[in-house]
Amino acid sequence: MRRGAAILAVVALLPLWLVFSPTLRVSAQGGAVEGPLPRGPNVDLVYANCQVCHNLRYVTDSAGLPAFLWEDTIGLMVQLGMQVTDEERAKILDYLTTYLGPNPPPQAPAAAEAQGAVETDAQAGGAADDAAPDGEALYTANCASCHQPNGRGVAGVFPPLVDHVPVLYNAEGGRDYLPTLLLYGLQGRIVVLGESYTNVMPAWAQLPDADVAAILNHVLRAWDNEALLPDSYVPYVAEEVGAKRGLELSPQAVIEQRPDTGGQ
Amino acid sequence: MSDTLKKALERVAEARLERREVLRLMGLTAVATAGLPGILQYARAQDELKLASEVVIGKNDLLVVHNDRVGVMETPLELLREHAITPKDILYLRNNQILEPEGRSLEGASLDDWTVELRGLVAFPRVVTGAMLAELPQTEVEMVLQCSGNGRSFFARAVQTRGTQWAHGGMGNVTFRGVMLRDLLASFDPPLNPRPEVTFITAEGADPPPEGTSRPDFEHSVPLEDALNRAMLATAMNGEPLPGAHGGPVRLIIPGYYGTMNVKWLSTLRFETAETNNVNQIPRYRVPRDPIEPGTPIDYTFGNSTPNWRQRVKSVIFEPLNGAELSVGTVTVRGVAWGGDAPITMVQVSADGGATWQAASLETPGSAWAWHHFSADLPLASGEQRIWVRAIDELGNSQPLDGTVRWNPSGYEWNGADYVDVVIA
Repeated sequence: MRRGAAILAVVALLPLWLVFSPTLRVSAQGGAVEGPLPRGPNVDLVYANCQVCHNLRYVTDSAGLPAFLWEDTIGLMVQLGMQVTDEERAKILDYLTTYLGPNPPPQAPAAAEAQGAVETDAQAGGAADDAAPDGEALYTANCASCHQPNGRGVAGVFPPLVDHVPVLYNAEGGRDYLPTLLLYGLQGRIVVLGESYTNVMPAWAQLPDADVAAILNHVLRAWDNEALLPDSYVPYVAEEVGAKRGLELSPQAVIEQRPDTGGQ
Repeated sequence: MSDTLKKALERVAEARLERREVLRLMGLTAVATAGLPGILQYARAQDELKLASEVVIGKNDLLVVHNDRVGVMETPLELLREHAITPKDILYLRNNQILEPEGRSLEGASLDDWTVELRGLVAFPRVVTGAMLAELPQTEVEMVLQCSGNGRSFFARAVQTRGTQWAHGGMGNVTFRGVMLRDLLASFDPPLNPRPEVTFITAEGADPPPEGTSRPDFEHSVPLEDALNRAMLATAMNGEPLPGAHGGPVRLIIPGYYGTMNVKWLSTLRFETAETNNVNQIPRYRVPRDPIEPGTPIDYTFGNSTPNWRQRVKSVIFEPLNGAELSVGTVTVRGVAWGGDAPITMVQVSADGGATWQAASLETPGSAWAWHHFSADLPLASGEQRIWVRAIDELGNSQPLDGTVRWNPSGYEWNGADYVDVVIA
């Protein structure tokens, strides 16, 4: 009863709940938690680019904008410093005009979708284990716009992952830190390979656990990073990421958990 | 304190406790079951905004936070109407950029080492120090500070507009004290006289654009004439050193102008012959010169649009609030009115959708730019009723019954006649 009242109180604070009729989706890989945006193709680009300067509330509160205004707004955001390729810009516009335009398609009942996913897996027998997410594709879709396709980042703005993430991994507490970083984001000053960074990294909690694990495994192996890994290294699995959920860390708190890499 | 406010406070306090409890439970449940407490996890994903005091130390957590990065928050009317002068802890906040760490605090920011550069089309550029400002004659003005987006959410009655969906709470009535710009210019030897061709001043703040973006720095231009008549370099608010969060130690204040033009953390004033073409002057913070059909695009030029300079005539009902249940008889309608062109001379209320209007009694404040409090006793029949209000200024400016006639893509300068829906039983 007490908990029921608490849930009601939270819902009352969240008018968007009603607007988008969101429901929980648990992916077949387990652990996915929906963010505030309606599901749809390219939603990850919105998560990746629109939280750098402002909350997603700005996006969801503008639901219903005519298409020309979304186009105009993206143009304004580019003027205000958003860094996207023309292709990404077109995809973001396509998502916003479709799902946050005046006539958005109804969101599929998520419970049914999850149910369907489970049934599909059941029919496929043990195939679910083989269908591990593609870490490289996930990296390209979610991470490359800041950390760059070559993992080298932008000096002074977005830190490089090459020669750096394995160092983090090898430091004390590194293996625990990396999934925490992706789930809760990071805010504060860090030094990477001698360069100082103060930009904000958004949280990626909206990605399923298996996707987070796949991204970490990709980054740890790509660009010759693998050569820096210890023999004891085993790839991350979804359950390991899932165990880090529910910690309620702020991006500022994450930096306190960051292992000391001596500026490497 | 009114009963309504008490109830509102209790409701919000309870909601906060519940939220904390939910967060705690979520943590426990996640650990205990290593599974998903479905709806709770979802709530967390939705409920991403920090509390006001977590954005700016000292802000009241009853404020509605719209952006917790640089700080955008508004004041519920239940709180706003409780004070003739809006206290700093509940005053709305709207930042584009923020000066760290000053901008995170309601403490007065230090004038020591602060300088404001005066340059552009002047015979001798000057640097004003904090000490100089402290020694010059001080002027104090009571005025409405209002975000130009205040009331934006009401444009959605026609077509949704982009940006923070402010209700009425992006405003407050405060006092600023400082040195009038004209007094400052006259204090130099020789006096700093802008060249005759100067028509605008452009103000820059010390707040930097966000790192990691190619964002242009924030600045605004205002007409020189208004600046010489009205503008001050403010160093105090509500009788205290100007809080860092509200632009201290030095903020350009132009009474009657929308908040955005009152540039915080003032570092430079440029005397120029044209408005800046900075993105924050055009296309941002502008409205069409002539009305456009709601939902149609407009390509802003300096000619077809005007910046958010003088505030449009506006009135807001503080009592009764929307949704109130009242008993049959005469209802006392109270609220405030103000404008940026001239003092308010009349406020009217209507219970029949604007077919007939009844004059409210009006208090004349000490300043033309302050809240003008109004009050009217309105007889209302039983049932669902809509109470309207509109204000008229000395120049005859008033408010459209349908505010969406001034629809613009970014939803600036809402000033439709205000109304509340009540139930008379």
